[in-house]
Amino acid sequence: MIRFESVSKRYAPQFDALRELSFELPTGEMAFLTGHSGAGKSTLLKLIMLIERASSGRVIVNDRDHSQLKGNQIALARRDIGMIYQDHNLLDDRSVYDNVALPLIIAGMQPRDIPNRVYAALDLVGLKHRAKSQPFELSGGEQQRVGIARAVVSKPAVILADEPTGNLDPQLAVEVMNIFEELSRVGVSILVATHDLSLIARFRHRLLTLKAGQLVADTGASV
Amino acid sequence: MNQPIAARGAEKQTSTFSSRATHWLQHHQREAKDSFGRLAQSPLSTLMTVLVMTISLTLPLGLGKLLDDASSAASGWDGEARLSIYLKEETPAEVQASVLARAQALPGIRSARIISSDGALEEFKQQSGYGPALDQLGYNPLPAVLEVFPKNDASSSEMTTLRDQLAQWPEVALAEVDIAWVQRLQSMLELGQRLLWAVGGALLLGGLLVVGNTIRLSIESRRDEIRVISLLGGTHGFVRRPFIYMGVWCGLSAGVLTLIAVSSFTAWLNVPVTQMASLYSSNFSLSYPSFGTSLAVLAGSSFLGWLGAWMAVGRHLRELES
Repeated sequence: MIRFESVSKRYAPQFDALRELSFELPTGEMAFLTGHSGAGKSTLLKLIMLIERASSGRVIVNDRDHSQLKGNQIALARRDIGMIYQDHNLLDDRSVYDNVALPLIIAGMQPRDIPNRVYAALDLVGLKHRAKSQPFELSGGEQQRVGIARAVVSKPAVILADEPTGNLDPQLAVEVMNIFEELSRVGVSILVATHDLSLIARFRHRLLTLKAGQLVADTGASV
Repeated sequence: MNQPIAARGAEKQTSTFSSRATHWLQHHQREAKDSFGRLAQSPLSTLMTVLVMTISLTLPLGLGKLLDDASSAASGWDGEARLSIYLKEETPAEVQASVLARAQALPGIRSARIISSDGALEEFKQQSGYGPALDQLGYNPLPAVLEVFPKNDASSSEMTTLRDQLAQWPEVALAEVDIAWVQRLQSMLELGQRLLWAVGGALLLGGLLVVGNTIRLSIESRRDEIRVISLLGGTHGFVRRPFIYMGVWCGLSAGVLTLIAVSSFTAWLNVPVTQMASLYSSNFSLSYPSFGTSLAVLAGSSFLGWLGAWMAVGRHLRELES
């Protein structure tokens, strides 16, 4: 669950990236987040990921008030959020397997339980056979899928995706969205930031539209 | 790609305390091993860091040991400090004996003896070589002397007090205590101790900065990794761990090299030192680092590496959060 309560984010000196933003994404709901460049999509995702802090208002994710979190509480909150980055954020000096295993190692999972989870996640994105490869040996689309596997491997309560299909061909993009839909059906809240209007039109989920830091449209909301 | 997602979804990581502790230990073991491997991958820069740390540890440790040995030797010489109490001329032998008995009964006295005026003259003749000239005098100008040896732990002020006390006795013409050399030596040793603290502190600070800089360079090369781990929920402890181990490995290696260096220097210097000491009928020699000292050096050098790494990573983490 994600809830924004009158959230504003101002960057010095007087640039308002987000203004009085309020919405709620309930458990198990999937939504698209769209808007032009500079509309505030990345800032919104950064607030959820605790990369940035709101200037005012409250960001509540998985019943945690992000404005109250400090130190290691931030780290623990991030473990319940799976983030898929546009630029993948994979570690080139580690294999695909090790990249996907990283959230589980960080979370303190028993080493004997890790391989099954990693191979299941890689299988989900169709890359089980590339487990031993290095990320730089993969295509952009494959790297994106490794990023997705890493985001879902720890079964987080919330998944954020920043242009997750940007590097994928149309068929793979649809398959990735199908995965997200399945995850949302089993209780994962999913927020997908995208410019891809055809994808938005095809999957017809809730759509949050940002413009100049304000929520100008919220269509298909379930609450 | 289209494998069904059976019963997936949000899941809380649950584990017992013992399994978490086991995992924590396993992670420490892995990080200790990995960080050693990373240091071994860049042997030249690692060696430079360890050598600079070794120098910054060897100098204060070596100087400290030299000062300790000098202090030990000086405390032995302190015991030989004495008071010379010159009795009035013509003091009869029985009064001299009485004075001796009273002196021996004083607290703080290790021993005392009377050198009669005749005995003093004879001794002076033998030591000075002016025997024939003294014979020409026709009389003995030297008074009887009461030599008083205070206890070994007597301080300069205690000896001065004792001298003043003895000077009050009616049989005493003059009381002297030659403590200037003791005071000079003690002053020099104190100066040496203070210099050691200053120089040692500066060198240790240098060592701290060197290991911190090494870790900082390692952090720079792993900046992306730290950022990704942090975004995936890695705690500060998790991020710090590999760098802390790198610092500890550097410090521990420097500690081992320091002990080897100090022991080698001690062996090298001991040959001329023992030769010189034997000329003064002394069995003085420089001591090697004891087991306790060695353990303290290893613990201290590891701590130095740990501290340098902690500071370097802490600074980076603050930058990451700002």
